[in-house]
Amino acid sequence: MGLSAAMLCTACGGSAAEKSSSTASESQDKTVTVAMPSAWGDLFPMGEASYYDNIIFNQVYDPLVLQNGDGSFTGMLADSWKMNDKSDEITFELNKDAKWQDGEDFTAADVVASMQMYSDPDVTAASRYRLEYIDGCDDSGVETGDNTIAVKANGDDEVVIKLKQPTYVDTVLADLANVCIVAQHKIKDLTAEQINSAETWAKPMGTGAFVYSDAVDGERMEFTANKSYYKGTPDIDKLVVRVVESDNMLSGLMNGEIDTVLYGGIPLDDWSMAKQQSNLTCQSLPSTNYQMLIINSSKSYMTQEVRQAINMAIDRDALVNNLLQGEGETISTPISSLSSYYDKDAKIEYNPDKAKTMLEEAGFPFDLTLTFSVPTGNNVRIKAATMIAENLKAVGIQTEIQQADFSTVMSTLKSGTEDLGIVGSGGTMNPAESLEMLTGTFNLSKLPDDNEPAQILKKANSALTDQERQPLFKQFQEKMIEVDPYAYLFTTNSLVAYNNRLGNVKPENFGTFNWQIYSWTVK
Amino acid sequence: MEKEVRSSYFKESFARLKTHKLAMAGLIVLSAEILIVVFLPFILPLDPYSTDMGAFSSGIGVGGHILGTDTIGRDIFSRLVFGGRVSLFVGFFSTAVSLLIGVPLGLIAGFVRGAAEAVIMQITDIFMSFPAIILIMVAVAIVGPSVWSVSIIIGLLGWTQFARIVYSKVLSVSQMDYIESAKAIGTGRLSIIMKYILPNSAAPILITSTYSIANAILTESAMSFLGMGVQPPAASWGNMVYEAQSIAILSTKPWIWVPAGMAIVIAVLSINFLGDGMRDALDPKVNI
Amino acid sequence: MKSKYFMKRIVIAVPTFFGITILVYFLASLAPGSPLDAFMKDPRITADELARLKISLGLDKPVYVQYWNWLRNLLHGNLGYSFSGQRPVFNIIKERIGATALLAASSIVLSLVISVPLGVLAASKPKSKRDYGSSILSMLMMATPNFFIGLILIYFVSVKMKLLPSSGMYDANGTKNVFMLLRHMILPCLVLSFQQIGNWVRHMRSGLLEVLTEDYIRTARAKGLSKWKVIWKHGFKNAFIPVLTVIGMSVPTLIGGAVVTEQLFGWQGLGSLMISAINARDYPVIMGTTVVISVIILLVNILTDIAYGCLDPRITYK
Repeated sequence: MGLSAAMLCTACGGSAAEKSSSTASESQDKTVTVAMPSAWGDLFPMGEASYYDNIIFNQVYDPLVLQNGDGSFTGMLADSWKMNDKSDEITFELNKDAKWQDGEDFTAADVVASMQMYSDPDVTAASRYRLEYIDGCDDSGVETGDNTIAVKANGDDEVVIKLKQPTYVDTVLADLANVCIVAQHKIKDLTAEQINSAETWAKPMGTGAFVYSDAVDGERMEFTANKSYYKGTPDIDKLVVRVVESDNMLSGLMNGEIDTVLYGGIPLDDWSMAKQQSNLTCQSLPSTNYQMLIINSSKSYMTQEVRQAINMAIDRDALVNNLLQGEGETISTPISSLSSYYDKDAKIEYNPDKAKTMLEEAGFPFDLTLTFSVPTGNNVRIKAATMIAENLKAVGIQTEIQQADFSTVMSTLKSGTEDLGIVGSGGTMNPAESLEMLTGTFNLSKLPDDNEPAQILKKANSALTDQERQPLFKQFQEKMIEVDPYAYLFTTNSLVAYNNRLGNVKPENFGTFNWQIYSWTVK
Repeated sequence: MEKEVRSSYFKESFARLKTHKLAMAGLIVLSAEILIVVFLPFILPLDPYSTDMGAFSSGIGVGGHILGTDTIGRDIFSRLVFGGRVSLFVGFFSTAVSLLIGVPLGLIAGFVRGAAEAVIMQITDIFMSFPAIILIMVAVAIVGPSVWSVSIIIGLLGWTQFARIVYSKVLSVSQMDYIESAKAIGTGRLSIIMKYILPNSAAPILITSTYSIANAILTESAMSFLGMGVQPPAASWGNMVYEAQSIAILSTKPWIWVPAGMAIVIAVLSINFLGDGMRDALDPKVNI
Repeated sequence: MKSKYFMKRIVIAVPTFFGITILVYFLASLAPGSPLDAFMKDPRITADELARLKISLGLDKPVYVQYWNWLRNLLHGNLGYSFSGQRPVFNIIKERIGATALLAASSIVLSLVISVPLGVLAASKPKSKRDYGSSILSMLMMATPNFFIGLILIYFVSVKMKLLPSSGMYDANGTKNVFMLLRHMILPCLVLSFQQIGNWVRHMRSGLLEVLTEDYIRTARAKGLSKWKVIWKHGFKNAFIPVLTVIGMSVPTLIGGAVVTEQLFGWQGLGSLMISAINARDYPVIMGTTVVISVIILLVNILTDIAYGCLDPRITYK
């Protein structure tokens, strides 16, 4: 928590004066300050997946490719790539100019060494599932034998990655976009224990556009530009990444203390004030972040008809228009309009009368009060839950909201004792990202793991060409609104604001962790 | 003989209390609060839970809401009254729990002595050496936050002061001459407790209880403010102030959070005035 | 010997210390949801990987074994590693303890500076208008929850008058100096001290009053010494002993208050650390912070006893 003063004491000159004098003393260095609402954790590149860690990694390290907001890919350490005819092997041509920030040349050996380190079972790497499509390792991304991960160097400038089975290229690239390449010469003599120690990674060194210079834990990290960056010298000389409470984002932007927010955006309540500021450029962009209602189908009364009725009883438009003030989109399936696979006909209508009739016909026990688990920490979601409870009350379903912190809610929902829950997902451009919640440990719907939507989704995901995939994903969406394992509610727009002194900012790519700060210009 | 002395002691104390203006004011305000939060919902149609879809964060008087609505459209006045139920309940119930645990433990420590005394005193030392609110937060995180868990846990962590009072009373009373003679004629422990210990402890226990209630109200509201106490949709004065952490609410919508905060101040103040008055009335030599 | 008395005090504090650590450890371990649940936000983590993570965090062992390992490490000076990020707990605490110490110390100083004169003023003329006035004022201060006065101050001072900043320890633009820290510290310190000042004024007043009615005071007055001289020279020094006790006893409350104040003002101290650790079920950090807080409190108790013993020659060594 925490609030902030918009302006500092004008009588004593305040920090505005201090700021200009400090930048003057740094001989006209172009400094850009960006903010994020929460601090980074440990800086091991394959640790627990955290948006805030990603912000740091994006400046210091490079992966082979990065994904753009429209689903396409930008080559980073890889200049180009080609999938073979069988669709089970990708050859990457690597950039020849890339260098490590300590001066050493970047070569294919670095890629191989990184992959081998990430797949080493003695190394703690919570998000190495990114490697799961690569041959030679299991579903967790752990190697099946000693250094068996099928990543081979062909000389210094070419890397060949063999896949377990024919896979759609974008699916693999999307995961590789999250695999940061680290320097072989840095890790080759380290034991697993040393790799697992936070000290090893605390002062990150990569091939990226910004060189780590200083940090205050939990508060800020400072970088200087990598003048010999292979994609061009950044216009920015000094980059400061600050941790700022989301309530303070707007005031920081208004008085110029921060130039933009890299993740989390402006809180909804502050958006109208943000748009009035003359020094800010504001964009409201659709994103893949969505909220969904969990329905526990292991309860005998949660039949398919009841689930359909619940879906029909929810006024999604009211949620977007009243709660989100229009800054979002309704969804009926996990695939949003950003995706090329989006089926606009797969929509669930809002019809409380029909919902009530369906419930009566299904023999729903109206005298039962359903338990509704709501995690704290996201006010919009909490309010959505309250509004949904009212929607359900209007069709005769009584609910009792129980708030608890996220960990508790997750374990409760997994244990299958609660009737309803509400959680959010960051979503990705991969239309199959919802598979994890339809089958396996994360199947909070408690439907049998071989349920129809899951089966169709698996089939769609393994199709290799766009022509084959489109109709399958359409089929998936139709099946989803029929089976209704969950009630998908809405996506929330990214509310991005940045200072007018910045140019060439592409907020549409922020959602895929592709900030391209190296390409920003500063007035 | 002792009974008469004692009853006139309490009669005199009460007479003294009546002259203490602030204490009486506190008593009246507190009684009024209790009556309001208990009975008003039966008289007026107060609904602290349903959301008025047409009136989010609306101001005073808008749409029939006396004190306006919060960000989800719930009526502030209703929530204030129901929140009062919660906050006052937590205050009184937790103190009752503390008494139920502390008094017997103090008696045991004082009478049984030996190992029991050492263990009990060591435990009170442990509890008093650590910020209670942290222990309470951890404990509430275990069982899940709710009105019951908060009340019981605050009570579980507040018994030490009562144990100490009773313990020291037992020790001091045991040394009195009339106790020696009572024991000599075979008066049982229980009747010593009932006739001498408890009446003599009544004053400090009563006084400490009032401060304990006030303290519990403050603790619960702080925890609910942090989101670790009573959870919405249930209303508590603390979680009503929670919304003020957004700068927009803080500066532009004071009706959402100020009433609840004021309610806490008034409740605690009136209890403290009462406690002070009781202390002065029951123990006049301290008052100069 | 006095030193024997103090050694005894330290020895008595040891079981208290262990008692606290055991209490907190087992309480924290009972909380539903484990630190692994933080990984639960990621639906792609496989069951195998979760099992691996569990082992690497030591969570596969029963609680008492984990406690024993933790204790052994502690006695070697190792506070363990945070579950969220593997950073050494010692470093995390080291980075944040200064902030809380600064806040607490300045709060004690501020409270003394305000409450002592006010208490003296009230005690010097009992039952006068100013006595009642100070009494009501201090009651009001005691009754105001710290978060409420914090919000009110933030509203008036930061938002409306834009005089002082309301969050963080330094401004966002990078330069860090003492002046900036002090500016950021004013409001949190005020808020932390608010209830305490009310409390201390009353203690100061009653302590002083008690002393002032002592016979030797009356004798001094009878001898013709001026009222103020009597108060300051004789009364104060002796009244300070109960005040010292109150200061010592206020440390747990102060730290408890710091928890709320730090959260409200975004002050990166041990209080806000504790809250985020509890929410994340980060046992190593919870325990490390508990250890540090207990040690501080127990040390303060011992120091208070020492000061007590030095000031009051009537102390006997049992």
